[in-house]
Amino acid sequence: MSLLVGPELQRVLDRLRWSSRQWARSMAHGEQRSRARGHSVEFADYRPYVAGDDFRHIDWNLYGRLDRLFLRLFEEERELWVHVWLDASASMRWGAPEKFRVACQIVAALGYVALGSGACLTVHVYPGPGDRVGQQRAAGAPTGAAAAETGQQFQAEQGCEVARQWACELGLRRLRGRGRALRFFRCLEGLLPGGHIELEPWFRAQAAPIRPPAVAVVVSDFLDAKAPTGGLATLVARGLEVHAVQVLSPQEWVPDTYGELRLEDVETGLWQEVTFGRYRLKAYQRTVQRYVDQLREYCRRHGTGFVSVRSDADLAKLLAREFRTLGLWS
Amino acid sequence: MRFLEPMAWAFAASLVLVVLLHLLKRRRRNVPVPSLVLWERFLQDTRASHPFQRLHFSWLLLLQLLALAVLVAALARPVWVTSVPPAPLRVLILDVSASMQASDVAPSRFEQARAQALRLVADAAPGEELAVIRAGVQPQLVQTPTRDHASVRKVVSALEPTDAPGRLMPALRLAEALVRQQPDARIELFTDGAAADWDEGYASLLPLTEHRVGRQGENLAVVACEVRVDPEPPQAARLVARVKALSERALSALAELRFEGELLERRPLVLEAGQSTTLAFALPEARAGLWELSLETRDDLAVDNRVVLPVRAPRPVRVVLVSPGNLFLERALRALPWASCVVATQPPPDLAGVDVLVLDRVPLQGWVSVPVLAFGTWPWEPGTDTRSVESPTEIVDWDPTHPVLRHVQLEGVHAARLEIRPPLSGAEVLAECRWGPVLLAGQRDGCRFVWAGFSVLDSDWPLRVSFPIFMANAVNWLASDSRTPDAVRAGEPVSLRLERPVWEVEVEGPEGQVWRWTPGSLTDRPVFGPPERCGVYRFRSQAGVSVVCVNLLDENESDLRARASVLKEPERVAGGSGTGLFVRREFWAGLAAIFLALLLAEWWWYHRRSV
Repeated sequence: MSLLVGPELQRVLDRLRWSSRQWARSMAHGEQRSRARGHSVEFADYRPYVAGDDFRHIDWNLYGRLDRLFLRLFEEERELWVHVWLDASASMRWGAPEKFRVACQIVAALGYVALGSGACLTVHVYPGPGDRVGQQRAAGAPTGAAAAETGQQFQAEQGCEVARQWACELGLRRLRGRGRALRFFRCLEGLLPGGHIELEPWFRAQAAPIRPPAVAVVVSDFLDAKAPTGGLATLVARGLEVHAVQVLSPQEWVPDTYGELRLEDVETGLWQEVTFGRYRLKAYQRTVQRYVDQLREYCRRHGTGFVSVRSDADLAKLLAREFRTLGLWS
Repeated sequence: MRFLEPMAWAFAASLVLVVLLHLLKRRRRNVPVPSLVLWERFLQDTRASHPFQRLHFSWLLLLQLLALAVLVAALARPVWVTSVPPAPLRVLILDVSASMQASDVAPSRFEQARAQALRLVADAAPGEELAVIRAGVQPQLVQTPTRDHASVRKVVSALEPTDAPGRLMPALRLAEALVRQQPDARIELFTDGAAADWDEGYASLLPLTEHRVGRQGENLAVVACEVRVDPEPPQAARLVARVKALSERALSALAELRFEGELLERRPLVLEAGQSTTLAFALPEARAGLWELSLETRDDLAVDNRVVLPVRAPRPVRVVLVSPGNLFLERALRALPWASCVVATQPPPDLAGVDVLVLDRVPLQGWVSVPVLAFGTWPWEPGTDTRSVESPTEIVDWDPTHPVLRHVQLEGVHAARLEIRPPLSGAEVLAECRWGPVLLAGQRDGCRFVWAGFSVLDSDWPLRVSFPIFMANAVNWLASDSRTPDAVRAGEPVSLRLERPVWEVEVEGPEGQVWRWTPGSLTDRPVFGPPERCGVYRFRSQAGVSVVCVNLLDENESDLRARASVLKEPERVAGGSGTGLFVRREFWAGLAAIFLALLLAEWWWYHRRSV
C-alpha cells in the first residue's frame, strides 16, 4: 500500500476507529456518528414528547400501543477536525532508524485512522519548505570551485525542491475520506526534514485560524533548546484537544560515541565540549528520562496526552497499545 | 634549613612528568548531534547543584583515597623500629705524633700505618661499623661510627702526621667510651709506640689490637735548647743545646748556628749510641732576631734536627711596689739587675706597662690584670677565709721544686704574726707552718700571683740569704707570665700577652700561610693552639706583633728505637651476646613512590574510561 504503512499495519489500523471527546462538541455536519442527537438515519433512542417538539418525529406506532406520545431520536453525524503537527526539523533527520521516518509513519497511521473515521485531516509540517530544503541542500552542497561552477544549477534544483515540498504540504491539507489515504501517504513520503524555526511564533501563527473543537497531535522530538513545549502551550491555549508524541532515537537514549567530544547541534550550529565515558552513561540516561518525565508532567498538568516512543520500537504494538491509552482511537 | 632525606628531591622529577601529562593535547572529536538540549541538561545535572550527593562506588574515588592515604602516611614519616644485632664496631686510632714521620720504614711510619688502616677498612665486612680517632696532642674523633666505608677511607687518607708529641691515652679513653657497651667492638691502634703516656696496664684491659709500625730508627736529635741573654751590657748571649744520639750505633752530625739565615758557626759532632752532649755557643752580642740551630745529619727523623729560638733585646721588668714603707722589699727589688722598681703608697690606677705588682699589706681595689706578689694581707678579699696567728711561728715545710722556691731555703724562718689561708683551686702551697699554708702561688683571673701570709717586717726572713733569691725567683716567675713566651714546645698552647685586648689576630704559620684567628672574646691574653707544626709563628694584631717559635724538643718523641709491645691478643667474644640495637628505618620514600604510581594509575584510569 505504502512505504509508510505496510499491509500488516494497515490491517491493524483498519480495526481502529477515531474516538475523541471532541466529536460531541463539533457543530459541523459530517459523516461520522456522534453522541449528539440529530437528523441522521441511525435510530438512537426515544424520549417523551414535550410541547414544541417536531411532530414529524413522533412515533405513532408506539402511541397506538401505549397511548402516549414519544419522540424518536436519531444520531447526529458530525465532522471532526484533526490537525497533526509534524516536526520536520533537522534534529528529526537523525537516529537509526531515522526519527523523521518513524514520525511520518506515526502521522500516516494517525491520518489513516482519522480519514477512516470521517475526520477532516490536516498535517502541518514545520519548518517551512524553504527552511528545510535550504539547510538540507546546504549540507550536501559542493564546495569551492565546484560550488561556483554548479551554483546556478544548484539554485535551480533547490527551487524545484521547495516547490515539490510545497506541493507535498498542500497535499496534506483538509483531507477527508479514506479514499485520500494514498495521496496522503505519498505526500508524507515526499517530505524532507531539515531547518530550524522558532516554535512558539510559528505555532501561534498556524493555530490562529483553527477553532475548537479539534484534535491536535504534535509529533516531534521536543528537543528545542528554547521552548520545547512552546507549541503545545499555544495549542492548549486555543482550547484544542492536544496530544504529544515524542520520538527519540535509540542513539539519544544510549549514545555510542565516547571520549573527548565536541558536540555540534545540527540545527543551531552551537557546540559543546563534553568528556563522556561509559561510566557516565547511566547519569546521561537518567537525564534523558528526567527530561521525558518533565514533558509528561507538563502534558498531564495541561490535560494533554503524551507518549514517548523510540524510533526502533515496534510500530504496530505501539499504535495498538500506547496510542489507545491516549484516547485517540478505540 | 636542613633535610633529613635530601635524596627525596629526586621525586621532583615527577613535576616534569605532571607538566608532560598536561602538555598532551586533548584531541576532541567533532560529533554532530540532533540537539544539545539533552547534553546541556546532562552537564547541568552532573554539576554540583547540591553540596552533597550519595556516595557511589567509583574506582577513581578508590584510587584517589588510596593515593591520599599513602601520601598522608608518607608525610607522617613512618618507621619500622626493629631490633638488630649490634654491628661489629672497630675504632681505628691513628697515631699522628712527630715520631710517625720517621723514615726508618719506607716511605714513613705514618704511611705504613695508613696503609694498614686502609687495608683493614677494605677487609671490613659490609655491615661493620668503623670509627676513626686521630691521636694527636688532643684526641679527635674524625669519623663517627659508620657503615659507609668509603667515607672512612676518605678520612683516613686525609690524615697527616704532626710535629707534636703524641698522646695515646686520651685517644684510648675516647675509644673506650665508644666500645664500652659493645662486646664485639675492637680498637685498632696504629702507632710506633713512642708516646710518653703509654699505659700498658690500662691498654691491656681494652679490646685493643696494636698495629706496631717502625723498626729500629736511628735519630740524632736536639732534645733541649735555650738562649740566655746577659742583662748587663754588652748583653752577651749564650745558646745552650743538648744533643742526643738515640740509636744503637754512633752518629755524626754537623751542628750549624744561624742568625736570620746567616751561618755563624759550624761544629762537627760525633756521638756514640745513646750518648748525649751539650753544645754551648757564646755570642758576644745578643742581636734581636731568629737564631737557628740545625744538625746536618742523615737520620730517620728531621723534625727534631732543627731548633729556632727568637732573641729579643732584654727589657727591664717593671715592678711597682705598693707599700706604706718597707725597706727590705725596696732594697731587694732594687737589687735585681733586670728589674726597675717604682715605689708607691697606693696602687696606681693605670697598670699598663707594669710587669709585676708587689703589695705589702695593701689590699686591691677591683680587678687587675697584672701578676701580683703580695705580703701580709690577702689582697683580694681581705678577711675572708683567713685565720690570724699572733704567735711566733716557724715555716716547717716548703716545695723547693717550684720555680719560685728554687735555691730557697726556708728552714728556721719565723714570723711573729701571720695569716693562714686554706689551699685555693688553681694555687699551689709553696710553704706551710704548723697552722697551715703561709705561702701560695698560682693563677687568679688569668694572672699569676704569689702570696705570703706574713709581712717581711714581722719576720726574720729578710735577714736571710734566701729572701733576695726568693724575690728574684718570684719576680722572674711572675714577669714571665706578663710576656708572650719566646718559644714553646710543639703541642703546648701559646699564651699571648698583648698590650691591649683584641678581637682578632692574624696568624702567619711556619709554611708562610696566613689566617685569621678569633680568640672568642675581647681579651689581651688569648691562648692559641696547641700548635702541631714546628716553626715560627707570627701573631699580628692591633696590639703589635708577637713571634713565637715552636720546637719539638721531646726526647721521648725523638727516640725511634724499637719498643716491644707487651699487649696480648685479646680473646674474641662470641657474637650475639650484646644487647640489640633498636634501629628506626624510615620508608616514606617508598610510600611516596606508591603515591606517584597511584596518581599515574588514577590518571590512566580516568582517560581510559572516557574513551
